Amino acid sequence: MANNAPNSSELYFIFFSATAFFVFLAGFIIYFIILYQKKQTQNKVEREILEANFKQEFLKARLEIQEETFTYVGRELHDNINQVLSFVKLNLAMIKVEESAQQTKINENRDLVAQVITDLRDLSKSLSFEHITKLGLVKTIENEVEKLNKSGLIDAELFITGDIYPMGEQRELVLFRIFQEAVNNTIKHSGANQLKISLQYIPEMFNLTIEDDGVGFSANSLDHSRGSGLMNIENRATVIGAVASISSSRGDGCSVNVNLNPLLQIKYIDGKYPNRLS
Amino acid sequence: MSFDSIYIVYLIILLIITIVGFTRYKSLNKGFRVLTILILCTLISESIKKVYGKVYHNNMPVAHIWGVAEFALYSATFYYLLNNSKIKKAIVVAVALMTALEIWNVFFFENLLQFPSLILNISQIVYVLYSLLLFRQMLLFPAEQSLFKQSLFWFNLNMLFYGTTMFLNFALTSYFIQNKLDMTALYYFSIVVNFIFYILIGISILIDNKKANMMSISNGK
Repeated sequence: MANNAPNSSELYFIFFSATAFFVFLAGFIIYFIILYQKKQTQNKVEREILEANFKQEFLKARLEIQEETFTYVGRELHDNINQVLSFVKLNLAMIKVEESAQQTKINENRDLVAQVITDLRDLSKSLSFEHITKLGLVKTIENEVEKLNKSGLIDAELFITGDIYPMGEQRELVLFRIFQEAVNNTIKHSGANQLKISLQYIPEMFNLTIEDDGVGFSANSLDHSRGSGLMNIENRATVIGAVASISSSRGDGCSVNVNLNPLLQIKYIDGKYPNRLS
Repeated sequence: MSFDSIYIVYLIILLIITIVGFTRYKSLNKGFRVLTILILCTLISESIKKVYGKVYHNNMPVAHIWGVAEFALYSATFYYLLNNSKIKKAIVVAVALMTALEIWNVFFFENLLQFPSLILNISQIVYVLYSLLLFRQMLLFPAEQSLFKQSLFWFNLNMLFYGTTMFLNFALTSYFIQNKLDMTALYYFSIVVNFIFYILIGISILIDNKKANMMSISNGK
């Protein structure tokens, strides 16, 4: 058996070769695991970006459709219904009756029609994209606050701090729609007497706050319409790269807060993309 | 522990894996279904080898036939696990070539009564190659699931480990025989490697899930 037995250096060589083999195998496996996990993370990040882009695209499409509908309804109100009502008002003005009680009734109806025409014109303006972008965010909100106070539905106050700067048509339009949604929610559900609207213009941050002193709500007691209204606020904010937070508790009113960095470039708002939503 | 007892433990392991495989057969993907059939065939062939060896004192004819059949079944497993159509065609060609090589080997090199070392050595090299290709595919199309919960990873790692280690084992065996050294350590080494191999195959069959794999496979297509 020991005739042609290997010498010790040969055995050492075999031993070290076998060890090197297993070390190499283990090294390969560890390298593969590290590389695979790196790829997994990379893929996850890419997938998240894709999902975020898709969500943005989807929200943008929804807003575009809503904006188109608003524009259409606004135009119809202004061009069609308002014209008909003006004609009715004119006809009423032309009716002359001898009996004073009837004449008073006709005059009252004429005044009512005039009021409807004014309200519809205001509504048409608040729905119109062109009107909002022409006036700018601050002026449009000021007009709305004025209308709210005139209506007697709620006592609204507007506070503006900082130097006003333009934020681009889409941003201002979306912010105005958020404001409208919040005010609608307040009037419909809160039973509030007071509404405070604050616009803060800080160079790197714009803040819009809408606060009411209504009944408030807890997150799990929301009905469908109010829940979807609040969801709309958050979704709209996402589209322009803003963050909306809604805080409320029972008996404590509600506060809607929108923070936006006006310097932040948003793919769908800035750059090569068209400078309007609809 | 005698070699006979070790052999019985080995057959029991194969039987357990076969039962696990057939219990989960419907939830396994195609590659692992073939693997389950392969384990059943291994169990049958190993049992026949033992009986044949007892009766004829040489079970090498069974080893020759099983060598080719085993290669074909492992190739079929990889055929379903790999997505690249060119590689799939290459696998089919490899099976045909291996069958031709075995016929040539029996007639001109290692006859039916000799150990089919040529076929087995080449098989190990091809398994390593398959395994590296599957690792490449996994890197190109990583799944969401944790790597350690993927049957594919355990199976492939196992094939790489088995292919390379058994190749080393054959080389050492040849060296030990040439130098007339004591082979006991190598026998035990081979047994341990085989046990690890089949246990890991069992684990990969146990954790394989058709639905979970579908994502990573569809990623690859």
